[in-house]
Amino acid sequence: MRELVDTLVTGILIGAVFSLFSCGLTIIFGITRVVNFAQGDFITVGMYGIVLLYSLLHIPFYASLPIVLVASFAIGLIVYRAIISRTYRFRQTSAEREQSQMVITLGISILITNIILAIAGPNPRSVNALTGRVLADGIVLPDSQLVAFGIVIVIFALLFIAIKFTRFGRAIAATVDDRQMASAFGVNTERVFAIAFGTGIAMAGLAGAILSTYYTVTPTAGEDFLIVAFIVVIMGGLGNVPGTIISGFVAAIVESVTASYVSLQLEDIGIYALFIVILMIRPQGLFGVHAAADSL
Amino acid sequence: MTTLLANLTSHKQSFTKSVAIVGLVGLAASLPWWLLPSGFWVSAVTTSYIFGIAAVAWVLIGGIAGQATFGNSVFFGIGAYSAAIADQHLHIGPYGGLGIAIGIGIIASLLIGTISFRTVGVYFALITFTTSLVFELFANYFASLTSGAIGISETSAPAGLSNFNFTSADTWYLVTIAIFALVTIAALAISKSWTGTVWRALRDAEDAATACGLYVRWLKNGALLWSAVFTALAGWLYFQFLGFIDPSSAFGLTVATLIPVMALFGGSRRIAGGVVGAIVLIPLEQFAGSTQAASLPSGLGLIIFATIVIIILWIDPRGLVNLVLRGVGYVTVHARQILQGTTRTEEPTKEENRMTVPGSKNETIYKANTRAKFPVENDRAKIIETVTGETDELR
Repeated sequence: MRELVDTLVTGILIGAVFSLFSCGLTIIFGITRVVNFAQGDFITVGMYGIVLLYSLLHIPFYASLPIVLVASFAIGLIVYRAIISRTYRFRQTSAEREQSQMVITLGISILITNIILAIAGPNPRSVNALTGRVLADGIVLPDSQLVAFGIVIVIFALLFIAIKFTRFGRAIAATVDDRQMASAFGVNTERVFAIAFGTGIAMAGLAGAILSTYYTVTPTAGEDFLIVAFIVVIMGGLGNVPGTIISGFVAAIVESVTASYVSLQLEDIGIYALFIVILMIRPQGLFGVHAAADSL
Repeated sequence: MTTLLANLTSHKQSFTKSVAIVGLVGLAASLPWWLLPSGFWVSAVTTSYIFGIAAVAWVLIGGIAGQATFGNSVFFGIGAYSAAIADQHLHIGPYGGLGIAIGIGIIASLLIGTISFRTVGVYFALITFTTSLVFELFANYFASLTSGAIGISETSAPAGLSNFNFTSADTWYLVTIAIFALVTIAALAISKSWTGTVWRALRDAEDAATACGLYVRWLKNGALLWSAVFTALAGWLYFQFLGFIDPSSAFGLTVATLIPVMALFGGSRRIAGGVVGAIVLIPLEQFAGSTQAASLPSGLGLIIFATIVIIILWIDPRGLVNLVLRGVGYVTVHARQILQGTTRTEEPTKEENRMTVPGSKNETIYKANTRAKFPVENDRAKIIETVTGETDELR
């Protein structure tokens, strides 16, 4: 019984981080219609951000987090403005535009991995922050995962407030609903797109920063998370933020249950099996509706 | 097949085109004797032809039928592993392996199609992508058959056509380019046939195609099946050439994304896009992972690879072939104006006024022409674009 509770708690704590970066992916897709294959690599960027700021420059951990957040938001804005926004200028069907955007983000993904490889080298690194642990009723809770959980909840609360109660949030909802109409009513849709892209990347960067405390940092670390993010996002319904958050937790719990009850090597099999079963029953995802984007 | 070939040759410009294609293939076949320097580059270009088969197969399903799959590596891996297992466990020779590769490829394409064609667009792309990663996991897991992560190496066999094993790199080069050319011609024939036309119809207007009484699900499955056959052939050839396969180079993330990247980099609306994409990108990718690049800083090769992909698609997201054709159209029009010494002011001719097919060859020339002739008309489109922030959709 204790083992089961332990497994579930671990699943929920990790699930928060899964939800965070998957949510970034789904926000980017829901608003800009870009499938960001570089999401995993922005997680890696966040990890190396902490390695640079905390381990090498000795900036306190809690001060490093906002720096990573802001920096990845800025990187996201630059990438969108410099590369992605140009694809909207060409005469293409929306399906073909999505395809060329996928290839561009794949290119960005390869670029980031190899730039990090060239600068930092292939050796794995670890970050010695938040190494303490809490014992609650015999269940061991690492500080790093508890802090991660707290941060993610705060971020989600802020996101919810920003979308529901601010003028800019309403502009986002309007743009998702009907881009042309929003534009006619004076919404700067280009700016909405750029900020949405930046926000998605910032969430990946922050997730990476948090993950670096209990995950080995390598230039290709993000790849595993990219696949997790895709599965979570499809399960939740592309562009559906609440659905993605829930399926992030579901995926993490399934993974940790497989890891502790089946075999540690096969923890991926559980998540893939879940994915295939869901695909058979509901191809549009657990919470997916086909026009999923307006559920923000 | 005869009707397919008849369709191919019935085209108006088919004679000049055939001559051009034969000339190009001949020129490419002679490359190792006057252009490609060391053994490395010959084998890199040979590899690019093998991946070219996969890229052309992707254009059939992704570009012409409009079902952008990111999981064609499933069929590539099935091809490679069929060859490997036929060689290692069944001892039925390479051609038996080819039969198994294509057979399993067809079965897998029908299974995957049945599940994944319930979805469209981005869902379809991501679901097929994940399917490939599931196959990678399986290949790692069933180690008794696939040797797991260690991979399978080819058992040595005497050289010769009966073992599909050649000693000289030049022979490999010629054999591969011959197969590549045959596949490309077959793909062109399919693309020009009724089947290809119907695929385009379901790409451009799936609802209308359904309303016309086309059985869309079967057509999509048919497109995936053709694509699977050719991709399995590419995988089989890859194992025969390289003599080694492991789960990540058969089904992994890199090869799963590389196939659509090649096709979309070249331009997915044309078979030529797949050919060009593979020939430009694969030697580069091979160089990045080779010992030749070992003296360079680590990662530099792939940085160049990614930069080229991003820059070309930044200039024109419709791909390299489209970019070149636009350039050619632009130069043609301007050269004519300079030679004639005037800019034309008369009304557009009937032919120029005709609706041009988007992405077709004369669209680029037509657009360059109109831009020169009717700047005002063009500004109007630009004003609409600026006001609404929307380029007109081709739906």
